[in-house]
Amino acid sequence: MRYFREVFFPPYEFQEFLKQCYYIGNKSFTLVSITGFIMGIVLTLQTRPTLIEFGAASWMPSMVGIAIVREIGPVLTALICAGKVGSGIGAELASMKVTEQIDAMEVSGTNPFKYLVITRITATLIMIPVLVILSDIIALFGSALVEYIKGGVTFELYFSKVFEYLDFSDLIPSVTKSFFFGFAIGLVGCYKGYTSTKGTAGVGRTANEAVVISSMLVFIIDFMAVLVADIFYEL
Amino acid sequence: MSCNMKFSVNYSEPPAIRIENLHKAFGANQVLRGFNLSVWKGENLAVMGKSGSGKSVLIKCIIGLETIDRGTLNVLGENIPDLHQKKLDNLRSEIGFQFQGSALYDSMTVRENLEFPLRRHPDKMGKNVSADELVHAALEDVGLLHAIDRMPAELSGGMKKRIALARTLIMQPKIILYDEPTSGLDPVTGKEISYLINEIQQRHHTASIIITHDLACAKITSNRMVILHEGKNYAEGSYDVLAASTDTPVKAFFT
Repeated sequence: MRYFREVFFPPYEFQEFLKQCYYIGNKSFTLVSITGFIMGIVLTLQTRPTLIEFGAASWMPSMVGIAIVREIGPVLTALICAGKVGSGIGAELASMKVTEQIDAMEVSGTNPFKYLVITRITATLIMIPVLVILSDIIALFGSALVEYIKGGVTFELYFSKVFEYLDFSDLIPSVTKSFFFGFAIGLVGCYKGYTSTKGTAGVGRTANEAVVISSMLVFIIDFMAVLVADIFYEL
Repeated sequence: MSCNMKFSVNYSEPPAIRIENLHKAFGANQVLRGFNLSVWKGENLAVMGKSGSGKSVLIKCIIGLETIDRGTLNVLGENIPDLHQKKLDNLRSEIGFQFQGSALYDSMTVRENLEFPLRRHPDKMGKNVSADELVHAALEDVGLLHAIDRMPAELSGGMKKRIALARTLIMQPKIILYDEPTSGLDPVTGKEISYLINEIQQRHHTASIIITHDLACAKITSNRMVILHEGKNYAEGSYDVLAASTDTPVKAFFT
């Protein structure tokens, strides 16, 4: 609640917010890209024989596209970010607390909550959807590559098939839930770090708890998002 | 500089810090039980006490990091418990706090560590003085200008303490609170830091409270000492007076 009370009021820590956006985006991009690419390849390789058996190989691009954009891309990216970003934020803030850096910040006339917590939560809120979109694109390229090598399907044809069955209504729930994933990851990391206790031993425990709780929240949010999206699809 | 440093204190002026009947508890643990203290501009007051006796809590109350339960806590004419956040932040810019573990920001270089408080209080910079000039001057004060672009992880314990001191000095504080300034240092570096505290006192004429366990540090830096025992100021006087005391709790610190 304190986040919502303070996020809209000055002073705004833009510089720290941009720095956090850069760290989250830049440091996770490689990992998210590699896993997205591999996931696109694996998904296509695993599904291909079955679809060929049923004579439905032409459905491959649209099926993989929908699976990646609606579900696999957002959840996979969020889980990776929960591990990398969530634990990083938790450990960093816990370590700052243990070494009195948060107190030092307060003493120097800075609101540590605004400087450390609001910037990080807002940065994850913004950057995780961006990473999800990038991961989706890279996963689709991985899938297209397999189709090109195995079935001689050109990239142009592959993507025209993907977008034939993928529309804006697939993208909206996917991106929307990514914002919630980002918020949850930032919130859990910051909360666990900011309220960390028991000295240096607490730092490791905080990082661990941040990953476990935010990963769990990703699945819960995903489940709820699917239920809500399903209502809209039926309308 | 010798430990017989001359302190020019005007006791007829109002004290920079005035504490009366201060109480502070953490749950059932009553840490401060009616503590009284006055510190004037131009003096170094050392506070000694056993571990867990509430020495660090005392200075954290002074700077508003801990709230007090009862009593009067007046700093530079302001009653700390009555201050709103904005006023407290402004007052904090007049108070330097040297943390026990230095508390340098790990993710920032030495330069950025020193610039950080300045960015929060741009009024502390003169019209014709840049932040860079102030950073250079503060680092020269502590003899570590060459470390300006290093990260805290690359510094030794003594260097970290000096940099933290420079970060405090850059705000030109009227009061400096030192929390165990020599802890974790070898005796030689500890003495260097103690003499540096005296040099700072001479140059900036601050009112300082030095929380310490280190007798050598207390002897070098203080013109007055307070023994904190069972939550109260048990004994008070110069180092020599307290060292000659036959009272058992006081004697325990000097043997």
